[in-house]
Amino acid sequence: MTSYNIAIVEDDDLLRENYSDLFRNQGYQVSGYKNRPDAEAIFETRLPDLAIIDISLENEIDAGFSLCQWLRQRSEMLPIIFLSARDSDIDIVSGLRLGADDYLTKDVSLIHLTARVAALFRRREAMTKPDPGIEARLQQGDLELDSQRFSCRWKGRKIDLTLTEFWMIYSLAKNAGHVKKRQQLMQESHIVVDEASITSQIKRIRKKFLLVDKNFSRIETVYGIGYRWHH
Amino acid sequence: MTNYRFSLRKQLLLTSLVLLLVPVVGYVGISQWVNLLSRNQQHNLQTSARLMAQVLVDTGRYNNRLHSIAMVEPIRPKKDLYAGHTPTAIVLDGKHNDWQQIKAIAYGKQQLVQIDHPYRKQSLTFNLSLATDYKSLYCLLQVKDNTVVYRDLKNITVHRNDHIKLSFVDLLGKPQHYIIAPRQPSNFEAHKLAANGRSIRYDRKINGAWRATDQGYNVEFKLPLTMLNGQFAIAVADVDDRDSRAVNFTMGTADTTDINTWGNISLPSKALSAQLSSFRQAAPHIDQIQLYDSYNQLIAESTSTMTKDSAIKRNAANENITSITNFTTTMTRLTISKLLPAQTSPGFDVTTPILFGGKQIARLQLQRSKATVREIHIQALQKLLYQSVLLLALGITIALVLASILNRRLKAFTTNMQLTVDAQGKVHPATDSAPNKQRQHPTKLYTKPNTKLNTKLNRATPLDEIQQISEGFIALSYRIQQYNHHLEAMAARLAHELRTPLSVIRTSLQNLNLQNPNIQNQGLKPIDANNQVYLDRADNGLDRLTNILNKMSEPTRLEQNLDEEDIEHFDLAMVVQGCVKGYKQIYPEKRFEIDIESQVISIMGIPDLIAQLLDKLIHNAVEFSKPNSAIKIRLTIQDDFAILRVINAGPELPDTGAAQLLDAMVSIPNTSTGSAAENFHLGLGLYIARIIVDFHDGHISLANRDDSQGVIVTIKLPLLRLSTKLR
Repeated sequence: MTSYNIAIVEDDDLLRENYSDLFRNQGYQVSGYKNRPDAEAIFETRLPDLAIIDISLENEIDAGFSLCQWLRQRSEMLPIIFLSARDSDIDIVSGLRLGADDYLTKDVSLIHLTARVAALFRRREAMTKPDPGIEARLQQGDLELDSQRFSCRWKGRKIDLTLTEFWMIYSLAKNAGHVKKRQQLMQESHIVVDEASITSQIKRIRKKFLLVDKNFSRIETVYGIGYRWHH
Repeated sequence: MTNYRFSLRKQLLLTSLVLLLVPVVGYVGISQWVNLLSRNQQHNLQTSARLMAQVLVDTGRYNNRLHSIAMVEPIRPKKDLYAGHTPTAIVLDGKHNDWQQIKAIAYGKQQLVQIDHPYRKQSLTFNLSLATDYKSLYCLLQVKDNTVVYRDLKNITVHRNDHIKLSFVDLLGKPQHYIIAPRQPSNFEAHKLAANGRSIRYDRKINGAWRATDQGYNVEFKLPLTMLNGQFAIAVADVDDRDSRAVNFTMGTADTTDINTWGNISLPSKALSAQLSSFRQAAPHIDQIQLYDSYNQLIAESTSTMTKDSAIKRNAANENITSITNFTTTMTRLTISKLLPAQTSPGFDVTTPILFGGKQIARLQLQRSKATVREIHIQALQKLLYQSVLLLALGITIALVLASILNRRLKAFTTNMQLTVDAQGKVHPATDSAPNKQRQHPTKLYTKPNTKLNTKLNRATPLDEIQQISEGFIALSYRIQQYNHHLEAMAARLAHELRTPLSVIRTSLQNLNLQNPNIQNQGLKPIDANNQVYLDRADNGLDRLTNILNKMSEPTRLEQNLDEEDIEHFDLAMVVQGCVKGYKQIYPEKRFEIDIESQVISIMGIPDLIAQLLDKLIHNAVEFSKPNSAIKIRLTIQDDFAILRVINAGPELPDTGAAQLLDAMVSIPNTSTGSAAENFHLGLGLYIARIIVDFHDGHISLANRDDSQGVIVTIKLPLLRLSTKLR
């Protein structure tokens, strides 16, 4: 296995060390940075294979956002994960709008975090390989999902989803017609959040589909229980 | 509207009633003024009277007018006579009507001068009245006689019938005798008698009228004053038997045949009266001047005709009230004059003695009519009444206007204040805008303090205390708002700040767990099973801590996420039904009874939020319900509202007010279900419910069940109507 280089930009030394240890133990190369200038100085010469970024760094409140923007300008494909204590919808939406592949709050478990990192590297590998063919694809009516490349198409048009969002849609579409409880959705999208956050997630997914198709109404809310992909 | 026990308006109104003292003070003042006036005028009159008396005495020394008065002897009642001055002309017709003002003297048994027959009262009594117009002496005899015997037609003699005897001393000092004895009631001339008692002739100078009356007859005659010299006697002779024609009795002032018994007749002095008139004309404020001799007989007088004329004119005016304005004026006049006691306006009566030769020979009486003073008094009171009413009306009007203005300003201030601090204790800075505009949607609660506020605070001098209070309050509310913002942000910030150190702990523990296999692989001592328990416990503690932090930031997150763009119209019944289905799975140990009145209940809102709201209510209901009890969910329609009730069986609400439970960070300890970590709550559940209900323009209330077996939460949400669709 090629040793991927993961960059962790986090101003809390202990936390950064914990994350670094985690990934090192998993066999990744890890480089940690405690602020934006340090990180940018290194990234200038060599981009990492994946970046995990906190939003507030030392004195800069929105350092993570600018760093994400800076990285996205240099590489379209570089996987970027926001890992922040900030959990307001505004922060999540702005973070994802800047092109991050996922936005996680700091109470995410390490197992979920590693699952995500692994998935993103799998996608990277999948991109370099030829089309994996039909078995990696999930076709559900007008919906096309590629579980290798985490790509999503609705009526032939591409929809950019975060990793979490993709896993949710995938979970719903795979069991189309069946109600997925919120708890199940969390499990399958490798997150642990409160139920209100799931509602926000679904809201955001719906909006992305509505941008492409004004009449999109496949994701059905089953109040009190969860959601269902409607045939 | 608030009802005050003693509102500002009432207070000011009562204060303005102090103006009622104005008429009281005015009345007292006027009374004192009138008294002073009276005393002053009395004093003036007194002075005038003394002056007049002095003038009378001084002039009297030369013209002898007073000598006659001074020399009058003490009067003998019913013998010495006095003829007053008659103000009106007397017509000689035997009628009493022109004698009204003149006092009559009654003659009876005591005045019999000759008795030839036993006297009976009905046989003869008479009244004698005398008057003068300064030319003649007028005399009226009202004789009561049961049998009137007139002079025989054939008979010459004048003594053998009812007749009047008249005797006096003439200017030459000779006694003269006359008899009045007509043959029938008619005009007559008196018979002059010779010294022997025989009738000589009629004397035309003494003439009059004899008139028969029911009780007898009246004789009215006049006699020129030029014939009189002082001594005078008059008597009535009564004949009752037409056959014998003998005189039974004679009754009168004296025996006319005995000159020594005659009395004196005194007359008012025309000259003195003229003098008094000249006095009166010189002093027009005096209505009447009278001169009495020492026997209280009026010697001379002068009365103003002016007062009589004006009185007549006033009466005429009173009778001819036609216009309404005059009517009210007259009514107040009449009322005042009725209420005004007569004593309060003393009339003026001044008497001063006239001393002549060291002894009092007469007294002078001056009078100013009471009516005049009373008139002034009434006029003053009337004016006072008008002014008082005007002043009172003005005062009350001003007080009311002032009270209304104050009231309105205070009300606006109170409204502002109430809007500024809402039921949750949240502060929205007060502004000057209309109160209606301040009804803000919860999403807009956190507007930044406006700049208008700051400019307002810097304004130089406040108009008055109320404005100062108001501005002070605005400043205060601004500060409280800032503090509240700080507190609100505190929970979220605290949660945020704790998240990083928590993550450090969590990642450390998880690293430890994850590394266990690696450690084993490397031949190091693994964490043994005993120690693994502590790791698990630490994990458990971490989860709880995370849970708490999430809950702490939940309301703030919710408020941030309330977005009117997400409002859609949806079927409340469906959402409730769906949710309850879910709860049956989540809380399998509870029974849920659902009762939905209508198939479709359309409302405007965000269904996810309604589901979240229901989550909170059900969570509470479950937590506070007895084991094996049912939780009832009822959805009904009432008027334009959907009413959602969640009813549980369990402990009642604390006495400290159900409404408080809807506020942030207020909760009651749950004694029914232990202290399991998952049941932990910060009392934010109902607060969140409240935020959601407010967002939907609804209303939430908590109450104990009527049977005291649990709690009912009632939520009222407006049904979809055409008007709300457009919002």
